[in-house]
Amino acid sequence: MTGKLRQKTTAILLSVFLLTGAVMPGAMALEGRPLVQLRLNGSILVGDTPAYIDSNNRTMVPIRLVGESLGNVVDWNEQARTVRISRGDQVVGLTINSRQATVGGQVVTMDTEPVIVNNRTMVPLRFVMENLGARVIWDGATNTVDIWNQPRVERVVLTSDNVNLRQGAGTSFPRIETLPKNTRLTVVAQSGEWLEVRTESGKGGWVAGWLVQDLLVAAPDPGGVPDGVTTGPEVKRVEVTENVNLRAGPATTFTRLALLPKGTAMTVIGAKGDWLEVRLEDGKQGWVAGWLVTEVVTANPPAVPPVLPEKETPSEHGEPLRLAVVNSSVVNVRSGPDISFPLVTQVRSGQFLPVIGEQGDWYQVQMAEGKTGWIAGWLVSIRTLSTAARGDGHGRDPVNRADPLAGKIIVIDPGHGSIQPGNWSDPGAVGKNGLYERDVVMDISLRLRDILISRGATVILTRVGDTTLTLEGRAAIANDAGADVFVSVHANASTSRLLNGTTTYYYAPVGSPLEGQRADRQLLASLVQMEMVQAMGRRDAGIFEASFSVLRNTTMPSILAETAFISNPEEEALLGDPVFRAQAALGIAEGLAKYFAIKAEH
Amino acid sequence: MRGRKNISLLLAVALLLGVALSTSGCGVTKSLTSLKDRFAGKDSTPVVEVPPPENQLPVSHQGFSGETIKVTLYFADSTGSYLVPEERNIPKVVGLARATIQELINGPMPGSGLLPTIPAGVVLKDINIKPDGLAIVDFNKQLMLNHPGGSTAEKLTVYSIVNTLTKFPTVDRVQFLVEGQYVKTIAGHVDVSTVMGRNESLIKRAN
Ligand SMILES: [Zn+2]
Repeated sequence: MTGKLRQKTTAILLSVFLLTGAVMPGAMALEGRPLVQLRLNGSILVGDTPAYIDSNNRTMVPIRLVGESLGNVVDWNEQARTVRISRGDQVVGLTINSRQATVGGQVVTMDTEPVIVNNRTMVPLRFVMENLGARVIWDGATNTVDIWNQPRVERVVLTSDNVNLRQGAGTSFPRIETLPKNTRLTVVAQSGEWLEVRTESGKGGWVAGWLVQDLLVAAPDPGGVPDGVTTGPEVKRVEVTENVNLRAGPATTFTRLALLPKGTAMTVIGAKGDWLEVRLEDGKQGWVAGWLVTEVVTANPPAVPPVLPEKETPSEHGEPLRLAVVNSSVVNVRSGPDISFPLVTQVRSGQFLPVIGEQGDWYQVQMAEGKTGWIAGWLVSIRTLSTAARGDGHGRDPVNRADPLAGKIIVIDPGHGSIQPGNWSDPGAVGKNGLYERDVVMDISLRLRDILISRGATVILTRVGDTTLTLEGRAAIANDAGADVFVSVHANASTSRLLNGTTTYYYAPVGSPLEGQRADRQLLASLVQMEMVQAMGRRDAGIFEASFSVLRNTTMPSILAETAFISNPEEEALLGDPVFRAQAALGIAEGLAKYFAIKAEH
Repeated sequence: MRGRKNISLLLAVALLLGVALSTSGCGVTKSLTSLKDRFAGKDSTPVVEVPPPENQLPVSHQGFSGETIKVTLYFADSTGSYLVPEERNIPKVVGLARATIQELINGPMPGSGLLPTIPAGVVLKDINIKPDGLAIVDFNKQLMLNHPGGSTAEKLTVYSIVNTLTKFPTVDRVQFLVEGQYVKTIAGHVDVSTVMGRNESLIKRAN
């Protein structure tokens, strides 16, 4: 174990004690206050001063954490006792012991105040982060605050000529310059239907969101992984350094499956944050804390150069296609089958990568845009695709030909988030613990998009933040794009808290203009329903026909997926879990793949 | 950035109202379910804010002949999945459709095990039955603002009204209005922009 790792281990252990409620010397001022666990983009965040809930029921965090770990710029004015926190051009100003704050220059009043505890400045997490554009989700079941600030670099391309790049979000703002069709832009922010973008020459400005289209992205920007988030250790065999709990999931909140005596050896098959998914000698699987294990040094790793695979893919020899499903939150793809090879890119949990070669414990995988690389076998699981679920094999791209999703245009409609008269955004259904349907379905939709793109589809989202589009407008996006399918993603609600399960809707009544698509729409709904139930493991509440606006107004096969009930406490907690949301996305993606595979055969 | 600023302001307003967005499990979080109410400037306790229109005052005072009539109301079953009919005797009045919708708003009989389908605070502002069988119903905005959301709940709200009205032989279709205006949807799923017919498939079959 390296010194750095041990240092981190101590810090983590410390906060684990704090989180489990043990009183630590030096934390006396926090005694009696409920402590909170923080997660950044799905990974547990550790600081030297714990987050706590103040008497105004606000989660308070050290300003250092807001700065360093959350990637914001913090300026502290000692004399005025003010803090200025910025992210890009968004600025929040706070004053110690004052409820007056500034957001983008406007004075607002908070319902709690920044304080100094044990010489540390503590600030209200949600107020700061939300005003800097992050999403903050409270999970009451586990006393966890989820912060989502990962810069999702959106690459778009202009769909028409002479698009004005303006100084602000609206046609009333002065024009900076006019851009030609097919100009590629990076989206940095959104306001209504307008996108703040950077051109490839670095020029910034705003363009109308309806004049752009999502560009295929190969993989997330490797620089996009924030500090403090581990990318999954690349060790294979580990043993525990003391008696350690084997748990059902990657946090201390998960059920204990077994107690592993010190020295127990195991194989690492996945990782999430600081937790490792492991398989014991007896085949039992579970999760252990990554800071309580040490790597087992094995014999010299193979020093032979990788055997480069044939140009042809295995599928051309009639062998079944294998897909590597990324298990760990962020996994490195390298140029060769060993950790000594340079990084090619990084891939995220839930991505599918076709396997084209194998060497030792490493798989060579095919990625979007013709790239290939090597990925550690213990950080992926391998799925063998039956021939039935595959495409016709007549595509031009040797990799994509295997995937029925390749080349399809898929419109994903994250439900709700519609700006209402009075300028508030429709949250959709709201769970008892404060989870918004609007936010949950956005997260599932983004995951679904990533999976579909990695499998060669072209994906268009009807909204990224909130939208002024009507429901008909959302359908029109798919109609105008000539989409192959339209998928609206929702979380359900009922007046009965007991009602739970997964449902998929379609609409194509006999006698209506949509009757001709009845078989296709039913097929699409049943396949996505089947795969969602398979992936999420919730009650199969069946498929239904309903006169939903987005289903009526789409001209191609369309469905509305109700993943789970946010009004049911158990399912609300699940929807708050990034792993469950990833399963929902995987289920929908698999259902779409099955649909296109069957359509390709007929 | 104007939109973002508005959202920030809204957030600040929500914070001022004491919406506990990041609370512990100290029981404050339950107020979140009524977030929409708060955005609409309402208190979290659902109350009827708008007094019923003049002509809606107690049905018994309005052309009541002393006779009663049996009407069929559709409420949600105990699981919140289906509609089930409840027969109720109400005074036979002029404007029977209005009185019937008012009964639907009042909710299921206590002890029936059924669940209401109309959100709290909803008022039927107007109802007009055309000779061709089209009933035009106009509700106040609480129908949208106080709706709990979810496609299952929205379907039951919409079709409890449509099915209750189309039980009258003089009604075969229903057009929704909210505050006198055509609307696209009540809670973001069901298309209520055009006339709606009866939905038998949502009614739970007695076994
Ligand atoms: Zn919804």
